[in-house]
Amino acid sequence: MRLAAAVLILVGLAAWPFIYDQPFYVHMGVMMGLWVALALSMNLMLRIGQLSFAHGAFMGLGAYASALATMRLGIPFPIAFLSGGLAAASVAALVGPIFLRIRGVYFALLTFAFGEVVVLTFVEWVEVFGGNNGLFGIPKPSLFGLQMTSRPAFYLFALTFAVLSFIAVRAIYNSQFGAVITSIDDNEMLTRSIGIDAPRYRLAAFCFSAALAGWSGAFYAHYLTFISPEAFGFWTPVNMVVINVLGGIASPWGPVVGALLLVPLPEILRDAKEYQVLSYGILLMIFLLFLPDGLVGLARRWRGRWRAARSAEGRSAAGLEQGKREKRAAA
Amino acid sequence: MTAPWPAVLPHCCAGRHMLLAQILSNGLMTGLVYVLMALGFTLIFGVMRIVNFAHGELYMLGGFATLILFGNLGWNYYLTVVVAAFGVGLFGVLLQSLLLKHFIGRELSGMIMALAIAITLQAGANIIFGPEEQSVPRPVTGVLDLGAAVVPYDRLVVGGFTLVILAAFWFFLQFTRWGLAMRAVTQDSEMAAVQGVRPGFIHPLAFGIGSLLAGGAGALMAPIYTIYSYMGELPMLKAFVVVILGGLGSIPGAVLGGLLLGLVESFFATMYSTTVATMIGFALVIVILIFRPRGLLGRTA
Amino acid sequence: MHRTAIATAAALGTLLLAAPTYAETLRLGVVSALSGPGSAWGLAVDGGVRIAAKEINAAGGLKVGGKTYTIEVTSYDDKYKAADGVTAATRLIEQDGIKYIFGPLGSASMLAVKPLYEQNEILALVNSYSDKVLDKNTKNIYRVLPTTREFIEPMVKWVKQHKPGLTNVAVISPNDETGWASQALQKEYYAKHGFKIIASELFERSLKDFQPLLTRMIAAKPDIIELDTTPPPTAGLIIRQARELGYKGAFVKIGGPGVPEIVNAAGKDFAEGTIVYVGADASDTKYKWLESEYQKLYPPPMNSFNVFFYDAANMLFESMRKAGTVGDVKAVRAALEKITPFKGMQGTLSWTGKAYYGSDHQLLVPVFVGMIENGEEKVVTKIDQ
Repeated sequence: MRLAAAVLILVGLAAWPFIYDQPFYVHMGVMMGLWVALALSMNLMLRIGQLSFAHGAFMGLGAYASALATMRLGIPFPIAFLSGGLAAASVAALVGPIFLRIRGVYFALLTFAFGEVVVLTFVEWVEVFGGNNGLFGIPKPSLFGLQMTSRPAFYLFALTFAVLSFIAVRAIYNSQFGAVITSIDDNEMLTRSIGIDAPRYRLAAFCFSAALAGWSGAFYAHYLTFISPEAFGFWTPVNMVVINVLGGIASPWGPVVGALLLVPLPEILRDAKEYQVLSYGILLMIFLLFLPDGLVGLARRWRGRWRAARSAEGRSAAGLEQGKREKRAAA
Repeated sequence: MTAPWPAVLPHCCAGRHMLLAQILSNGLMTGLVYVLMALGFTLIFGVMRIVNFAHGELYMLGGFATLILFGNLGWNYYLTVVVAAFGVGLFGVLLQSLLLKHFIGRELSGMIMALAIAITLQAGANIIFGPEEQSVPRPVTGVLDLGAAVVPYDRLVVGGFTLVILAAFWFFLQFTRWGLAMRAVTQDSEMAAVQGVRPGFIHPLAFGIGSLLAGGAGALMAPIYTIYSYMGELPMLKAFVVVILGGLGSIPGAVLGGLLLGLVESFFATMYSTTVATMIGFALVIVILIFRPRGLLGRTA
Repeated sequence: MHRTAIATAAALGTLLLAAPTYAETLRLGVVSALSGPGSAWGLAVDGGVRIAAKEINAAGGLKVGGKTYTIEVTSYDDKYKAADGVTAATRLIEQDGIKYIFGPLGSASMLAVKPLYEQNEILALVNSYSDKVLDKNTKNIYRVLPTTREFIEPMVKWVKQHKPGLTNVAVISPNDETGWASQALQKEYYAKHGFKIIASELFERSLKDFQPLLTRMIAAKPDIIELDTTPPPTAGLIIRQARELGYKGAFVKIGGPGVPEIVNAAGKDFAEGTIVYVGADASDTKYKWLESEYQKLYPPPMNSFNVFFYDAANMLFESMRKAGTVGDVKAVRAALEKITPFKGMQGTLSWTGKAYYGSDHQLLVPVFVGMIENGEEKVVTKIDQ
């Protein structure tokens, strides 16, 4: 029943641009898909209790790797695209073992400095990365000789990418792997004592998260056909975090809801200009103060209450447990 | 051609040793401002465990206070700096008691809250004052010619102010009851609580003093650079680097880190380029965080 | 509120399209940096177009092919960023169905939007400094503002003639597309006219402390520090910091005008005698009128971008009148290509660019040589091209 509903919704999501062909909305759909994937990659990091400001850099690494592979080396798009994520993941695998030893706020600061160094490298190494000017004329994706130029095609790509990212992240959380990385956040000593190699699990999560950001970057590069370092600076990971905070970080639905809400927001506030940024900041403060579990947390709480009211036995224990977990993850 | 500008300007930079002397003097003057920013930043972290991403915006508020009081209303410059510093300090107390209070001990949420405050203040300033970079006339002009190097008088004023503030701050921490309490909280908040230090008072006080220092730095630098809503981003970034170099929460570390970064940057920016200097700053941060996560003078956990 | 009112009026206007006896609406789009860094220039672009439209509307509307059109301007902010530029342009093109667009301002945003303009046959009047904006395949994009390439030679020639004895030049430019392209031209033309380039420096736009860079630069003993496309407030800071370090030579700024900001940041004494490229003569009466109109839209100061886009909008209107249509973009474009020499606000405007860019899509405008005297910009001479 739930599967049927999910399939129906997906078919609907995939079909609308072909029925109601409004390129601007399709463009917004593409951007939403991109940000769902980016926010999911940040969600993985928050799940292991590490706030990473290096994810803008990982996105950039993926973008530049894929763009340069197609432009300079003439590598076909699918391989270049895959290599974008792999490039980001390899860098993560390289620095991860050292970085992940650092915890909490120090990790955030460390990744921030690392992200800045990567972006400054894009700026300074002009021969390879094109400096502040960036790379211009990145080829649009092509599959089996067919070039993807129409917006609905891009939309399908973005939708598939976002859905696959969601399925992957959810599968991770529901598996034993997910239980371990979550418990790492809760109690590392305990996990270690039952013989699980927690650092390796954490590294794997970090690498997959970087890969997701890298693929998002590769997609971004081939969609816009233009990239420059500023797009991968400090504010990109901040936006990923903000989406998670709005949606709720305790569930993979959080980043999805957050992205679907936040990406079109500037378009709705178009006429507001500077007030757009102001309302963004105020909204964020309100959420942090009054909805620390995000929208998904709020929905869960309401559902929990509703269920508790319905069943006299008060089987809401499960819901309560859920709430506790969210609290812990949020803190 | 005849020079239409004042002919009283000294000459400089004749040889290599002169270049070096100039590098030292540039670096020292910049470093002192870094110290001022980093002190507040590190104090706030030490006491409240909050990474204050809004620190640059407090600096910006100090800058705009100078624009209004000194630039538009024609107040005395030194009075302006003092009023701006205390004004921003009070604003900081307000921020802490209204918004940040709820995030003590929750490092990640606290960091995001500080970011939200930064975004809001920046956007607000952009709406009120417009996007253009603005300038105020300089209260002090001319340069001090040391032979091997020249130091503009306005930089000297900033340096002098910084030293006075540093001395006052040191006195406050060493010899006043509140200062002692604050140091106690920085070192061990639980022990301090046992000993009867009330965080409900120490937290706003620490955030207020941190804001005061940032606001004062902004007010001091306003006539030297330009004033605009994004002016705090760079100083905040520098404070960030300095504080990690010296150790988050370490006050002597902030002083040492600030001067060190000022000198290192001045050297590499003169010899190579500013971007190289910035990169070296961040590379230092990475290395130190990995090998000495508590910084050069930070306590080892 | 005001904007909403315009939007409502526009919606009504579209509804009324069915009845031909009523005035019809011509919609123009602007993509520009309306907030954040660069918005001083971005707002000027928007202001120029809006003032021109308002003037036509006040005179009863644009009369083309027997019909009268009310002009309506829709502006979207791209925050000087590529992704936001694409979003804004897509919305104008696809959502609003607009065929004529002004901007974007930033090079990153412009290069990202370029394929959209060409594919959708949007007649675009742009202003980005990047060399890559125009090439031999450019069809629908016209640059209506001069870049360094258009004003460097007359300016350097003037400096050579009027300031003999100065030979060593140090160039300082922002480290991005604009700065690179411009600095290369500065070096080429200064060398061509007998100067010696002894140092060239690039800096990040966020930089405010130039002492290290200037310490190195002054050690090379320049006679002229060329400030190139450095943003005016930053140029003022450079002038002040160089003087404080003991530099006694001249300052020249061929690119990115903005004397009031330079003087404010440098101080009157230090800025004295600086030779500047000036985009428009501010003492002109028409300029003063434009300034007063601009103040009704945005807070002052106004800059010359306003003049360029006021002229550009009027060129577009004239082309529509000549073509006798607003709906046939190709016809309007053909008329636009033949519209020059066009009498603009400050002199004669003409298309050029074939030799450098491969297509005549670059507007050539008069160049003004200015000098800072007593803290004020004084136009020394006007050079027609």
